Amino acid sequence: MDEAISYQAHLARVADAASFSVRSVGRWLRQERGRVKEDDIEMKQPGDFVSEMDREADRKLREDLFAILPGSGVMSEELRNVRGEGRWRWIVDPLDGTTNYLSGLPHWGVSVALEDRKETSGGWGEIVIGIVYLPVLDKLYLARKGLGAKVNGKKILSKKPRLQRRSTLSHWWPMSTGKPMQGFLDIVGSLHGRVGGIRNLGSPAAELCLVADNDLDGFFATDMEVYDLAAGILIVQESGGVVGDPWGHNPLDSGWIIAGNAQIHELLRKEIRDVFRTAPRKSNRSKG
Amino acid sequence: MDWETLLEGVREIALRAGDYLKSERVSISRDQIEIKGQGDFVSRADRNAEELLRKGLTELIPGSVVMAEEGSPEARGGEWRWIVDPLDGTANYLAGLPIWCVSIALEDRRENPERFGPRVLGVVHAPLLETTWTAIRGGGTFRNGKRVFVREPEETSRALLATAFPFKERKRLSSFLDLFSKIYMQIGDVRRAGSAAIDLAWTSDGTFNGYFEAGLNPWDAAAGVLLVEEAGGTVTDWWGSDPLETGWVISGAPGIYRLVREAAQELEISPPERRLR
Repeated sequence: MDEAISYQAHLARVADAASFSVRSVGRWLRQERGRVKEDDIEMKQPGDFVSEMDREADRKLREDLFAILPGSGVMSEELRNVRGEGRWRWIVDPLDGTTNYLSGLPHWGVSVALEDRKETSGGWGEIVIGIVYLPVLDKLYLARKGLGAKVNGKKILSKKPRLQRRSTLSHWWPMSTGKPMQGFLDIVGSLHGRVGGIRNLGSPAAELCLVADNDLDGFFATDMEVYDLAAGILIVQESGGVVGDPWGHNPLDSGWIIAGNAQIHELLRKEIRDVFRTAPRKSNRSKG
Repeated sequence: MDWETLLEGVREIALRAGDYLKSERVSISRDQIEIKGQGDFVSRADRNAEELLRKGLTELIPGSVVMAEEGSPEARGGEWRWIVDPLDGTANYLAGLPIWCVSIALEDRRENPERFGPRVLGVVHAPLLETTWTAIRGGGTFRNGKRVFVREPEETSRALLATAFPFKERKRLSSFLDLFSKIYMQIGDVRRAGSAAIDLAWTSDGTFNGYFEAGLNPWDAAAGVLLVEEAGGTVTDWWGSDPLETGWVISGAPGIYRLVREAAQELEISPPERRLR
């Protein structure tokens, strides 16, 4: 019992310290984007600017996260292959929604999850902390496994779902433009008129948080990376939402995700399974 | 007419309506939201904001008329007509997303009262984005007071375009999906943000390289179209005419506009019947 209490107390301190780091890196990214003039970005090539910001944000986060939890490992979009051997591993996306960040759209953020690998045998451990900060909206989402989720320190309460025809969904298009694309067009065509609105907001970490806090009623996508999802999934689950893959796999493995309230989750699961009899192969990211 | 002074007056009214909507959003409950057609919500806030605009704008130009969705969608007559949407992006507003705005355009109807006249002034104000776009015909487009321009992508394959799928009439959907698929193959990515006026405003300042949609109402598009034109962009409907007449809009930096327009022409889609004037 004492051990359990000290474990939770320890994680609470870790979550607070990591939140502080995520928020300050997010603010730094926003500041940099505001400081740099359009002309400078054009001159430097936009891709270069973004990867420079991405790398620097990643470096800052790693420095903080290693200090917060000595001996922990990190897996980040920037450093795909660096894997920790110990019990704790951070899963980091220093800049989720890079296109939005570069273009000036409001939905982008910093996403950090903590994975407990104590009882894993090769697969994923348990995600015990999920943190996403959206700098433009100044919203920090924090979830602790089993203890609920908060936005800016305020507990997210599960709400009565909106009527399906008034619900707003968001999704991503598949990376490959052949059959998977046609499948998504069929799904979107079928949903039209049955739901209130369908968005493409361009930041999966943000979209999951919006689902958690009831600003969106559902989200679905394929070809997602672990970094996009790890924190957001826990935030949705701890807010009372349902997260899954249409075929019951782990979204972290398949890259498929459906998130929403129970009804929307079921609606989307059916739609996707009607169109795709089997899960299309995961393809590599080329857009976003 | 002193356009700068008039613009100041219009901006002030837009800000007032925006403040009202922002404060109303906090107190609104789901039960107060009545449904009006599929996916198209209307609320008390929407109607009150429209009244606020109507009163303010007709005081700015005595004798002017107001065309607005709720109270007077077919307002004609008068030499000057305001084309306003007090709340564009209603679904976002109700859901809790920040992408919604007040949209106001002034149309000069002195030449030919049978057609849409030139839009001479446009304001799009997005309270939660803390952004206001303004334009006076011939004077350029400004975002929060700073001059902005449309932006061509470095290469087509990196272009970011905005769109929305027509949800009011399912008949239009298949023509639209044909164009969407064709464009999507060639560009970098697509966003559907849920407010036509903001999509156009974001096109005017280079956030998006272009925007296309089918089936807009004049009040969704009137101000945004002027913003894009005054920022150096091109806007027509899918057949090359004034986009307000059919509401099938293609807009963007000139290169991106051409790309989408040519794709639309190749599909040989026939125009819908002309509607409002």
